[in-house]
Amino acid sequence: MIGLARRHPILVGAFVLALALSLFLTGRIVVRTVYWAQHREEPIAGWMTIGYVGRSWGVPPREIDRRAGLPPPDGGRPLTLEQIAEDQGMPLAVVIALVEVTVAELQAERDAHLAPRP
Amino acid sequence: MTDWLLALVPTYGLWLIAGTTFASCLALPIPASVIMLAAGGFAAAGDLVLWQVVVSALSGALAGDQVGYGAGRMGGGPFLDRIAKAPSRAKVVTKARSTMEAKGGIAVFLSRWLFSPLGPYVNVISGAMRHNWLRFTLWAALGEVVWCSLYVLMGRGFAGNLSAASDMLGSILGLVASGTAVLGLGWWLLLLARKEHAQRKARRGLSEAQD
Repeated sequence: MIGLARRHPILVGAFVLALALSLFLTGRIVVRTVYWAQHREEPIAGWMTIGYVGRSWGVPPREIDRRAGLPPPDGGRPLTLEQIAEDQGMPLAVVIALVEVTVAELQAERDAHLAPRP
Repeated sequence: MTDWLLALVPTYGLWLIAGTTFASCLALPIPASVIMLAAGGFAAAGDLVLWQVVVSALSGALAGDQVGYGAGRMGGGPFLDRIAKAPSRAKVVTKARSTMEAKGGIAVFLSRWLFSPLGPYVNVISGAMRHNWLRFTLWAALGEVVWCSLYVLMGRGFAGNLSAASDMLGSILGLVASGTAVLGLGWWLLLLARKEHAQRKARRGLSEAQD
């Protein structure tokens, strides 16, 4: 191997580099898999629909609509939070806060329901 | 701009998805991969239909490839012919064309999804080299199927976590590329080592025979 490296330095260098990169990426994938498994939920943003938020946070989307008093999808056409804010004449930040509170409530109820009863 | 585009996905859905993959095949700076991941997420949430998302992404990409190839063929083909008129350069052009015919297919395939930033340029070059149209189209279609379904399905799998999906996919594709390089270079080094070993053995045999 050493003799080979002396005779073909560029080739062996490229091989070692590619090997190091592969090991790095493998490690990264393992670390990130563990990380994302614990951080499934994506911060709520204006481009999301209620359906998307429900999916991300593991709560039923139509229940979010109902509790937060937001309009359900208009004839099958999904609305983003930005569009909902515009339709309701509310600032986007208020709609996001409303959805966040509702999601937290629903999650708390779900967890309470799942927890073993004393 | 990405957030602004993402907000348009549930509203303009399929047309927007087809438009972004089309534009990205022409090297326009549109984050088609993020749009496809998000569309997969919206499909998981029930806002879009999965197969329709894949089909529209695919149609945009296929159309974009054809435009790139056509532009290369019309613009670059005659230019290359003119260059090839000089006998000194004719050999180089002929060699490039035959390499393209022999290995172009795999280059077209891999530049769809594994080395996707190269895709638009490979399209134009393929056209300019007059790479066989049918072969180009088949390899490009195969590659686009991998590209579109990979991103849309990854988006669906990671539904509701766009950052996780793009983060993981980036690492995975990087690993595929570097892993391929490790195997290729390793094989090359192994062959070299064997050849040199055989040469040394032959030389030793020769010197012993002379003694």
